[in-house]
Amino acid sequence: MDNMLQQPIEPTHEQASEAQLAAIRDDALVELAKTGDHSAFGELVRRHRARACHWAQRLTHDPYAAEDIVQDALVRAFLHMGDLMDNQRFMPWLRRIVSNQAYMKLRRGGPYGKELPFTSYAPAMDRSRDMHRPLTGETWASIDSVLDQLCHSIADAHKPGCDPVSVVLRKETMAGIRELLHCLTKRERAIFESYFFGQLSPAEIAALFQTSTSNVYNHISTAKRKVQQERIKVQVSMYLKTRRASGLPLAKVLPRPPY
Amino acid sequence: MAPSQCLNDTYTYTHTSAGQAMFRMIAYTDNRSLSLVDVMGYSSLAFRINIHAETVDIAGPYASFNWGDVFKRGMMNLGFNCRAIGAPNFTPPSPEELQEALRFTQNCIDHGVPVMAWDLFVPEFGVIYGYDDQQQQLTCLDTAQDGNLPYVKLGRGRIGELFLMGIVDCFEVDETCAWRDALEMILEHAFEHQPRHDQEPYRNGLAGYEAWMQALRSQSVEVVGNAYNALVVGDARMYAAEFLTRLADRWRNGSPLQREVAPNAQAAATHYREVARHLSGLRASFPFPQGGTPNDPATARTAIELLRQAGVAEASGIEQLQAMHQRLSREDSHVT
Repeated sequence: MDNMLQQPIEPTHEQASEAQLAAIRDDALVELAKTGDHSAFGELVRRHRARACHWAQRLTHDPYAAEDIVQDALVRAFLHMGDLMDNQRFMPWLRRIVSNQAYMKLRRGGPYGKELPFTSYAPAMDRSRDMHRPLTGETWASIDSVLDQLCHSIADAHKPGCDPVSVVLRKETMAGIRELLHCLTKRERAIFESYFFGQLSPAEIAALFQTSTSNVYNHISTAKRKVQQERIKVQVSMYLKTRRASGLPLAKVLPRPPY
Repeated sequence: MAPSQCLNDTYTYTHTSAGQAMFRMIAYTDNRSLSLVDVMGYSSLAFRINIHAETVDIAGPYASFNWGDVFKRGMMNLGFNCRAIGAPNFTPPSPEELQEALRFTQNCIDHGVPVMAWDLFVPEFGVIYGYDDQQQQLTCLDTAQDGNLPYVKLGRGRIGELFLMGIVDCFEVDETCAWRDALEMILEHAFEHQPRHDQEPYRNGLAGYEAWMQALRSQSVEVVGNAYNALVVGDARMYAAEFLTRLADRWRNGSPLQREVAPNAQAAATHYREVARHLSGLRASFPFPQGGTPNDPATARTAIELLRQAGVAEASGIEQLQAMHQRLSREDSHVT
């Protein structure tokens, strides 16, 4: 991945000239890029880089972070051109990759560690209403829904003017999740975080971790199961604590049923 | 309700594990004199059949109905208000649902009564009759095992779904009203198809026999499921016949209304005894769990004939029960 970042995308002698490329429509370029044509991909980048930067900036509110995100996103896009089923959908697809990269950067902190740059604090980002849903107790009903909400609220974490209760709840949820992730092995945890916090597809994760997609699915399902089990253990022990505090019996066994 | 349990009752175990679990709970209440025969009859469980028309799937007996509603209604006929938690939805409980299930279970046990639960050690109904917070274990009994189950495993058995039912309180019931209400359940089950969201071709009640024959004809029967259904339905019909025999015996000397319908009960008992006899032939051909060779054409032909006769006998039994229901529905309970 890192090597790719440093390698300029050079056209080969078999590939079309710049002038020829400029006349080709996006979907045809995508088709060429899918065959591994670097120059066709380069042309797509030339056309859409500015827009990609704009998307990333809207998410990060930081032009430097946005540059990095777009660079990573483009590499990812090039590596996964084959996954794009519909050539007409290149732009939305690229946009999703940029967003994913941006969220992952925000989650992992990117160049700023856990702090977001001051420029990120204002103005308020235009986000869907889902992101403002507070993480209430009942969202724990499914670890998936918790994770789903977390993914949506990651970039929201430091937003000013946010309802203080939901901020506290979100912090508790994040802390809860981190606590739970201790039950995972290092690799499971990395894949789990890529999937839920980075919102990468299993295919993207497989490329990142140099493994097969089916292996990623296995890791994700094992990790989900382990996290859920851990969450249940925590719930049961909290419940037993309150039961003890109420002075209820610690144990009771009725006579064995006669039949 | 007049208890019908006799000393040295041989009817103390049924392969309908839901009925067994209800019976086990009831044994810890003031109505402990109720027999398993009563439980199977008034709950309608003795009269149920649900067959997958292609495979005779093993899930048949408990597929296609709302457990909470049907079991609670059955328990009300026996004089108990119950509360159910969870449903057969192939979804393990959330941490909060598990906590509520534990809280409810412990509360019932603290009051001296076990709780009925699904899929403790195997996908059947059993009871939870103890708990230990320090060990974080429940003491459970089901068809496979009497032992301990970690708290966190409740609702995470072989299927991975949670269902519990516990007794909340009990009340006096009028026997005639109870049987009339049970008849409503039995007749609904006999005639009304229970639709399923997944379009699986299950057929309940009288249509169940035709579905079973159809599966055998198409030689697409799942061996273990077929044997299990033969076991459960055959056993249930023995309870149906015994229940109706005991009811007829009691009601012959009962109120005028009871005396009037007692012959219907006796006639129905004879038909259900015949159903049970045909189904015992089926059980012999398809012993559970080995299951025999239901897809062998000659074996299937014999089985189809047994099921045809069982279906005819059951339809006659249902006719008698309909007549009883019509007569009982015309009367207000105070007349009894």
